[in-house]
Parts: sequence; C-alpha cells; structure tokens
Amino acid sequence: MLELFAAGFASVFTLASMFMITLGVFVGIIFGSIPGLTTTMAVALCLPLTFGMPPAIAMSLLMGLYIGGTSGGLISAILINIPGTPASVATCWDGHPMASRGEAGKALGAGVVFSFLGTLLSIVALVFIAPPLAEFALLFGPVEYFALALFALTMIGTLAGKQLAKGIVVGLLGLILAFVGMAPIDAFPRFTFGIHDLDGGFDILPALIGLFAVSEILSVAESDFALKKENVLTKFKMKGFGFSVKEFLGQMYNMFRSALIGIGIGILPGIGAGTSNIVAYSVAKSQDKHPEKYGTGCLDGVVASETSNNASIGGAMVPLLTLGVPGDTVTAMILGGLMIHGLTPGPLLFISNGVVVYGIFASLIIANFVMLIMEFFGIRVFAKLLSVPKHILLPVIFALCVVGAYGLNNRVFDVWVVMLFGVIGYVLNKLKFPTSPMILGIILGPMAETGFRRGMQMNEGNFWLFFTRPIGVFFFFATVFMIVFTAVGNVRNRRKEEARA
Amino acid sequence: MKSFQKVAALLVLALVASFAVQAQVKYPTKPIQVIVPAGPGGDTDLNCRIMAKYLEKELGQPVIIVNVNGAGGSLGSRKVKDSAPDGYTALFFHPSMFLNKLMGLVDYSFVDFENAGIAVMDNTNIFVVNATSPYKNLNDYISAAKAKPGKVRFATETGGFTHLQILAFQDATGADLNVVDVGSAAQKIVALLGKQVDAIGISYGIIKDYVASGKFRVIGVMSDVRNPMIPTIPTFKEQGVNMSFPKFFYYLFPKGTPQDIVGRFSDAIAKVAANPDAQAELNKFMVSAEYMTPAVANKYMLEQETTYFKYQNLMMNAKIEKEEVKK
Amino acid sequence: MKKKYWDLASGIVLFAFSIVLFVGAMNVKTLEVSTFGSGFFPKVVAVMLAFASLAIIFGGIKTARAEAEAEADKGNPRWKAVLATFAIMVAYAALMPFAGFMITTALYLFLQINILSEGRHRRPLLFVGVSLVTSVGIYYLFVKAFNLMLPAGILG
Repeated sequence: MLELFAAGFASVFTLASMFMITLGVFVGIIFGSIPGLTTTMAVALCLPLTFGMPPAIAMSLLMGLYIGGTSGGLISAILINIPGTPASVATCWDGHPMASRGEAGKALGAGVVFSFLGTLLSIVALVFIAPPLAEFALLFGPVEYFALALFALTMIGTLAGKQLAKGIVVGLLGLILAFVGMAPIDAFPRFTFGIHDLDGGFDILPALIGLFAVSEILSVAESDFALKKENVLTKFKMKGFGFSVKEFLGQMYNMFRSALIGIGIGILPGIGAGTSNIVAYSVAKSQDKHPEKYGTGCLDGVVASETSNNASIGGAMVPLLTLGVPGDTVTAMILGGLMIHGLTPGPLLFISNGVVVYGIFASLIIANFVMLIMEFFGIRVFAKLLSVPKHILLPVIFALCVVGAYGLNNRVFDVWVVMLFGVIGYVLNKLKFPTSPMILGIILGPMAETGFRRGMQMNEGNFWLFFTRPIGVFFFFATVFMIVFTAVGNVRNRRKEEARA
Repeated sequence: MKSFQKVAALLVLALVASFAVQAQVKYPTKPIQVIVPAGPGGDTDLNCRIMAKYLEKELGQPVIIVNVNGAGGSLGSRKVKDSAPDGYTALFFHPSMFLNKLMGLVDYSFVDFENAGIAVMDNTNIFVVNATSPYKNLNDYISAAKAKPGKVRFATETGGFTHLQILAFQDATGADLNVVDVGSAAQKIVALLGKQVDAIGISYGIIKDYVASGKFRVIGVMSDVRNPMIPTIPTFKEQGVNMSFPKFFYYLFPKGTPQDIVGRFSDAIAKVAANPDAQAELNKFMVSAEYMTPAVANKYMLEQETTYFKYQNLMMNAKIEKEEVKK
Repeated sequence: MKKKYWDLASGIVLFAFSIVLFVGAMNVKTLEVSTFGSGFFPKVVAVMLAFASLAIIFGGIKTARAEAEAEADKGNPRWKAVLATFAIMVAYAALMPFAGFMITTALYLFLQINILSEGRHRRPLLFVGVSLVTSVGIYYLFVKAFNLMLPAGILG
C-alpha cells in the first residue's frame, strides 16, 4: 500500500495537478457559497472541460470541486442565513444567530476548521477501511432504508423542540409534498392534477432555495431591516481561527460523533451531505444537556453540521470507488466522469488502476488542506463581499438561485417551485411554525415509502419478516426510543414551564 | 458563338445552383442540446456523451448533454416533444419510451417525433446472478423458480426495460418469480452484491468488472446470436427460451423539424458510427455504433414496439396476481 | 384576525386539509390493487396530520383564551413591499421563456433593488449599472463559459 500511496502522491505533485486542485477548490467554494449553485452543478459544468485532460488531472479538479463546494456553503449560511448548498442547511440555524451577535468570526472559523477535520476523518476511513465499509453498506436493503428513514424522521421531534405539534405538522407537510410525482414502484403519477411538469415531483434544491432564500427575501422586504443600520454581522474580530483551544477540545466528542454520522450516511448510496448535516445537528441537540441553546447560536450546532457534511465526502467515495455505485448526487456525476475517462469504478479499479485511485486519495488530502488555507484567508474577503447592502445582495442572489433552479432540469417550472416554497416558507414563518422539519420530510419521505414497499415486495407482503433483519431491528428500536424520549422530554418541559408560570 | 452561349448557360446554371445550395438553411449555427432522459453515469448517459464527442466534430458546433431525469424518462421525452422544431433540441433515448406509453404514463410514441435514426446498439441485455448462487445457467434458474413458485427473486425497475424482459421471460418459460423493484442499475448491482435478490437484468458493460473479478455470473444474453464481444455467454434462444431484446439508442427531433436539418444530423450520426475511434470507445462498454437511417429505423422501431405491446396486459396486471395469491 | 387566533385557525385549516388528503389518497391509481398500494402512505400521513392538527387546535384554544398580550411589533410590516416582491418574482418567471434570461433578470434586479431600498438612500445609476452588469455577466459566464442553457428569448 505504501508504494501505491507514494506513486499516487507523486502523480498529484505535478504543477498541472496542483493547479487543478487549487482551481477546483476555488471554484467549488464559490459555487458552494452562492445559494442556488451547488457542488453537483459545479461538477456537472466542469465535467465537459475535463474531456481533454488525462484522468489524474481531471480527478484532481473534481475532487477540489467536491471539497470546496461542500464546505463553501457555510459562508452564506452564517453570514446571510441562506444555505449555500443543501449540505449547510443546519449551519444556518446556529451559525447565523452567532453572526448576529458579532461572533461571525468564531462561527466561520469553526466551520472551516471542522469542515477540514470532518473531511480528514472521512478520508482516513476511505483509505484504510473502504472495503469493510462497502461490505457494510451492502447489508442495507429496502427494509434497512425504511427503518433508517423512520429513525431519521424522528429527528423532526428533536428539531421542533418546544413546538412539537407544529414541528410534526411541518414534517408531515414535507412528506406530503414529497408524495407529489411518480409513486415509487408503480411509477404512476400521484397528486399531479394532470400537470405533467409535476410528474417528476418537487426537486429538493428548488424547495430548499424557496424555503430559505425566497422566504428570507420576503421577510427582509417586509421588515424595515433593510433600512436599519448594518451590520454587526460583518464587523467581527478574529484571532487565529476565532475560537479558543478550550472550546475546540470541548467539541471533540461532537466532532467524532458527527463525523461518524457523516461517514455512515455517506456510504449509503442515495443519501449524502444534504441529509447528514441535519441528522448530525439533531443528534447533537438530542444528546446535549441543554438542547434549548440550539438555534440560539451555539458552537455545537455549527460543528455538528459542518463536520458531518464534509465527512460525507469520504463516505460517498467509498461505494463509488469500491462498488462503482455513487454515494450521493455529486459522486453520481463523478462516476460519469470516471467512465468517460475510461475508468470503471468497481472491484477491479484498485487492481487495474491502483495509481489513479491513490492519486484520487492524494488529491482529496491536498484539496482538503488547500480548502483550509483558502477559506481561512478568505474569511475576511467573504465578509467584505457579503457586506454589500442587502437590497443589492439579495436580488443578485435570487437571480443566481434562478440559474441554479433552471439549470437543474432545464425548465422554468423549477423556478415556479422555488416561489411556491418561498411562499410556504414565508407563511410558516409568519404563523410561527418551524421550517426546518420540512426538509427532513421531503428528503426522507420517499426513502421511507420506497423502502417499505420494496421491502413488502421482497418479503411477499409479510410485514413481520421486516423484523428478521438485524440492522433494521436496530433502527426500529432506535426509532421507538427516540419517539418515547422526545415525548417524555416534551411533557417534562411542559410541566416545568407550567410550574414556573 | 454557340460554345460561348453554352459556357454562359453553364455558368448561370452553376451560379443559380450555388444559390440554391446556400438557400438551404445553415445548420447548425449554434450549440445543439441533446436531452438524455436518464441520470448521469448510467449507460444511456454514457453512450450519449461518447456520441456527442464525435458528433461535435462532424457538426462543427458544441453538442451539449442535458440530463432530464425522472418519471421513467417521460419528463425528458415530453420536454423534447414540446420544444421548438428548429433542430437545436434532440432526444436520445431507448426502448423505455415505448414502455412509458405502454404503461399509460404518456400518450405518445416515437411516431410523434421526427426520427434522426438509430445510433447505438446494445445487444448485451443479460440476466446475472451472484457467483455464489447455485444457478449455473438459465435452466437452473427456471427449475428453481418452478420448484418454488413466487419465491425466487428477480430485481428490476418497474416500468423499465428489464421489467418487460422478465415478464416476457415468465411468459415464455412458465416460471413464477418474485419480481421486486430495486430501482436503477446501480441499485441492482448493490442488491445482487448484497445477495438480496437472486438475479438481475442489466447491460453487460456496467458489470463487466464484476464478472472479471468473479463476483457475478452471467447466465444468458437476450440477443439473436451470440454477441462477438462477449462470446462465452450463451443466448436465451440457445438455452431454449425464445427471447430477444436488443436495446437500441436513437435520436428524435420534435415533430415539424425540417427534413433537411434532420437529414444533416442523421448524416453526422452515420459518419460517427463509421468512425473507428468512436466504435472503439463504445466497444469498451460492449455496445456498438450501428447506424440505421430514419426510414429503416422507423420500420425497426415499429416492429419492436409491436412486440412490447404484446406484454401490455402482463405488465399492468402482474402485481395484481401476486397480491391476490398471497391473500 | 388577531394574532392570538392564528394557531387555532391554522389548526382547523390543517385538519380540513388532512381530510382532503385522505380522500385524495383513496383515489390514487395504483398498479397493485392491494392494501399497501400507492395510496397507503398518504393515508397514514393524512391520519397523523389529523392528530397533529388536533393538538394544534387545542393549543390554539389555549392561546386564544389567554390574555391578549401586547404584541411587540417589529416596526411596521411593509405588506406592500412583500406583495411587490412576490409580484415581480412571478413576472420574472412568467416572462423569462419569452423575453429571455438577460432582459428579465436585468428588469427584475432593478425593480427588486428598488423595492428593498425604499426609503433608503437610493442611487439609481448604481442600481441600473448593477442590474445590467450582473445579468449580462451571469448570462455570459454560464452560457458561454459553462455551456449551461438559459432561456434565450428575444435578446437572450
């Protein structure tokens, strides 16, 4: 292995390769930090540019994009409360409140450092235990996905905190919105009212853009915030990485747990950073002695979210390289890229093209460092850029969101979806309903239903056979546990409040 | 004098002829979008991208691949159908479009478009089992299915090409399998690796490494004769199952697109298909560049479509039978 | 409607919606005629929604009965601005397939900036400049450099 590593690093330490990595990270960060533009889009757009390149160089660029893009989302999440990519949704929830208190430096610094660490941990997993991880991922059949989805759905309860009923409602609304489109298995359109554009359902990206970006624009329009003096956000002091060694050490357990969640979700084909950041955040909140502090601007929230979303990078590369099966949307694009360059990922890739594989590992490691350095020095620049007055910044961001939504499937319909969700988000905010559970509903609904129905097919209609699968049983228990835990906690809090009143 | 008049007449004729040629619409003058109704990284996407690489050179303009995934490919095909017939939007698809119509998902078929011809032929539609399974060939699989009706599993994507194949298979052999939906090609691979199903239907190119590394075993290919690129795989017909399902990839333009534009594009396809480099690239994935002119393609596709519709009832009613038996 | 009645009202609306959903779920066309077809999950969700909305109704009753607290309004909500924003967003999406990305984006940007900067120090020249530069810049970057398709319309 050592020789392969040496060869891999050697292939990457060329001028062309290093340039590509740096360029990739740079472009990735830009795409990641602009709401509406995603990592997947960055890879999709740059893929044709790589056709003339030798495979190793092409991979350097793509790995740079992947890492830059996934971590870039934290910048806009923290500074303007709009997630740059679906991977940084949870970062908004505590990152922005921190910024509003003048602690943007700490939030950004922590986000960058823990993105780096999360990626690093997942790369270690990828390099050293990819095969066993892949074997583990293979154990996940429809029943396991169903159970896992159920468990993740209970996170809605954690996210909702005090507003349990409202949170559940919003989560259910997310599930309902996800029903629109083709039903899993039968493929018949459901709830489409004959509108063919709805056959494909609502894509998560326009939904996200609408819920966060548009509703933010509408709120800004409504309040006279734009008239008030700006901007505590961008005037912040920063020493080093913005947080103390003591704070850093205090986050260790959080970091490892979140990284584990990120890697675990990453290795499962079909779900990635977009889900792991929310799940890690929720788990962190549920395990914390003071869950109320989440949402008000606590470091733990940012750390959990940013560690896990970057950890999903290494995680998603595991099934891609070992099985030829993409772990998330970005790796699906990368798979296409690999195949066009004549590399078929799968069991033989390591044997026939070992140097390329280790070159990919080396690119990931180097790109990770490049990301750390670029973002650290770039924090001031980002703050400056995002201190452009809101009345100019937000419209421009919306225009870019339109590009992102349209570019998804080349149709204006997705732009309409953005606005629909913008209205939904705005109304929910006005009525004091939490919006965060909706994302979980939209992402996990299809996963749960598909898992359930496929599981029933496999077990010939016998639901009780679901409980013969150990991993499934584990998650079923975890689900029940979470439900009880959340309910009890909620009742207890209610009693405490009534006692105080 | 006469010869001068002759020359003059010829010159005038030549001049007029050159104008006539120029009067034909200049095509293409800007990039062409090819809509692929499938996700990136799959075989449809890959074949299209390889073709696009060479088409660009023939047409002189960029050929841009746009993935419009969803609803079994109907989102993509519908988009092209509703596009302007100016020759700058094309569809690259395969038999699944007929299946969309079969299942009632759409009400149109290839005849509602202008056909630019067939470009790629995939004669590697196979059934694959995990190497650890006891099935060495089709007949083992069939016997097992007959011994335990409704228990032996086959993974497919509902409404997809492999779904049609398994229905035809059951019809031809009388085997009663538990047909489960697992989703896309990648998910089928995972399901087979994880031994959650007994067999899958897929194209060879995607799993060739698994065969080479000894993880998968191919028990039959659905072509008329053995595929020279995978000569060790016996055909279904050889093994007594009369089934042949080639997977053909074609380009369609919206109805009303001028014939000379379609013709120009079609000629480009023909040139690419004859290009040895293009062939070599496609052959790496066990598919071949085979050109069929629009006229020939239309006839061929009509034949194929008629074959599929034979199984329409089976497709729509398959699940009903299963569930009722269970009750 | 006074704010204290909002919870109650939303609860009732949600409950009604859950019933509609349930009925709709019964009519979903399925390939399998069985208990667990495509209508099953929607029905389950509809039932859960019904229960959750009942909880909200109860909570809403409590809030409505409580003393009407003095709602600290964050200044005057500018409804006109919200509606205007929404209106130009709709127009933007509606006109884009016809007029093309560049024109509609430039118009949208100019109008939106003006809406959001109402009452503030406005700099029309800057706004026009930003609108034009941004929309042209985005178009050329994505369409020419990246080959992404954006609606072309008249001018592009």
